Amino acid sequence: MKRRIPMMIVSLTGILMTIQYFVPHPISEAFYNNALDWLVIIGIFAMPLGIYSMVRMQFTKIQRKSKGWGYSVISLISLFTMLGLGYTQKCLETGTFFMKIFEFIYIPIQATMFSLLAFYIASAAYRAFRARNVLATIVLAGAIIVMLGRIPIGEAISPWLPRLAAWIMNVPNMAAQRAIMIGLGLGAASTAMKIVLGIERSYMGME
Amino acid sequence: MNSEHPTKPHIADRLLNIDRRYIYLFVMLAAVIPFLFKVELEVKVTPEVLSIYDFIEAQKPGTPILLAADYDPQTQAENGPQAEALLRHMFKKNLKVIIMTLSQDGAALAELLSTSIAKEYDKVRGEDYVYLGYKPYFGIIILSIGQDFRISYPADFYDTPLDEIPMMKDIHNYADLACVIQIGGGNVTHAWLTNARERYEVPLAIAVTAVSGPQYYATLQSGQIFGLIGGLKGAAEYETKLLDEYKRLGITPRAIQGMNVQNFVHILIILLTIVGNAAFFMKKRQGGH
Repeated sequence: MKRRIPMMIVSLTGILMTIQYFVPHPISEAFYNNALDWLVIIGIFAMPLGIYSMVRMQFTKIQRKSKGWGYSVISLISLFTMLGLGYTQKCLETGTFFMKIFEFIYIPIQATMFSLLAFYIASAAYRAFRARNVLATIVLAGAIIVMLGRIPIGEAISPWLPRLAAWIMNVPNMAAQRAIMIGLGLGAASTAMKIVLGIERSYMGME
Repeated sequence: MNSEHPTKPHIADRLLNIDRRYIYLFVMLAAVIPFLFKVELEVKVTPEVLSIYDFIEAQKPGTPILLAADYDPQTQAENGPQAEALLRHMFKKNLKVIIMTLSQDGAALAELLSTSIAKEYDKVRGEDYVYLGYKPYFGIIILSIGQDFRISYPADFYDTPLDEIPMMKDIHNYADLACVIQIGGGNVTHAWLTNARERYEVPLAIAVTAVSGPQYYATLQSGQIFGLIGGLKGAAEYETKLLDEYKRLGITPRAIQGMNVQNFVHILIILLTIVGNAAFFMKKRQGGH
C-alpha cells in the first residue's frame, strides 16, 4: 500500500496531464492552472530542505574535523552572512553591502572559474588534439576552420573561411546535434511512459 | 672509456613534455597583449544575428518584449555584452521591455543591467520597462507565464504589485508579447523552447555562450527560434549593427573589443595544436608512441 498509492498518484497525474495537453476546454485549463500551483507549492519545500541538508553536512564536517573542514567554516559563515544581509537590507538594490559583496567578490570568483576553461582548452589542444587517424584529422581540420571562421582575422585571411565555418555549423554539426536531440527526446518520452505505467520505479528508491 | 653523459632528449620529447605552465603563460599573454594594441578588424554579421536585429528594428514603439536574462556571473563575459546590446536596441526603439531572470545568481546582474542601461536612455521604471526579478523552478515559471505573469510574479522585483504598474496594465501572458529573447543557455533555454515556444507558440530568439551555440542550430533551422546570438562573436556582430548608437552614447562596444582577445587566443590554440601534432609525428617517425 505504501508503494502502490504513490505509484497510482503518479500514473493518474501523468495520464490526466497528457489528456489535458490535447483538450482546449475551460475545465482542462483550470485543472492545468491548479497543477501549476501545486508544482510551485511542492517545489518551494525543496528549498529549506536543501539549506538544511547543506548546513548539516558542513556542520558534521566541522565537528569531525574532516579533511578541509576549514572550507566548511567559510561556507557556513558565507551562507549566514548573506542570509543575514538579505533579511536586514533591501539586498539586491544597487549600492547596498550585499550587492557590493556580490559585485566585487562573487562575480569575479565565478568569472575566474569559467575563464580557467580557456587555459585548460589550450593545454588540452596541445596535448590531446592529435591527427591519429582519418576521422581524428577531419575533426581537427573542422575545429581549426571553425576557430578561424569565428574570429575577424579569419575573414581577413580569406572570406571563404567564415562561409566554410558556417557550413560546418549548419550542416554536419546540425545533423549530429539533431540526431542527439531526437535520441534524447525519444529517451525522455519512453522514460516518462515507463514512469506513468509503473515500470520505472527508481524515483521511489526501488529497483 | 665509457663516458656516461646523459643523452640530450630529442626535440619531439621536449615539446611533448613541455611544462603546462608555459602554455598557461602563453594564454595569459594572448589575453592581455591585445588590450595594449588597438586592432580594428571588421566583424561580419551572420544571418542568425541579423534576424534578431531586424525583428526588433521592425517593431513599433511601445511593443512589449520579454527579455529573459537567465545568465550568471560565470558566463557574464559572453552573455553580458549580448544583453547590453539587445537592451540598448530595445530602448533605442522605445519598446516596452519586461526583464526577468530564472538564474538564481542572475537577479543582481539583471538588476544592474536594467538600471544602468535604462539610465542611459532616461527610461522610467514601470512605464518603459519592468524588472520582475528571480523566481526558482524555471519550468514552472515559464509555464505559468503562459497563463498570466501575475501567477508567479504578483509583484515586480521592487515589490510593486503588477496590477499597479502602468506598463503591465494590458500585458498578461505570452499572447501580449511580440517575442521572448532569452539570454543564457543550458536547461533553462531548453525549457523556454519546449514550454514557451512549443506550448504557447511565442516567437523566441536566444543568446547563448559560444560553447552552447552549436546545439541550437537545429532549432534555428526548424524555425523554433528566429535568431541566435552565439558567444562574444554574436554579441560583437550585434554591436556592429549598433555601432552608431554606441558612438552616440560614447560607449566602447565591449564585445568588439573582446574580439581582439579572441583573435589572439584562437590563433594561439591553433598554433599549439600544430606544434603538438608536429612533435607527435616526429616522435612517431622515431618509432615512439
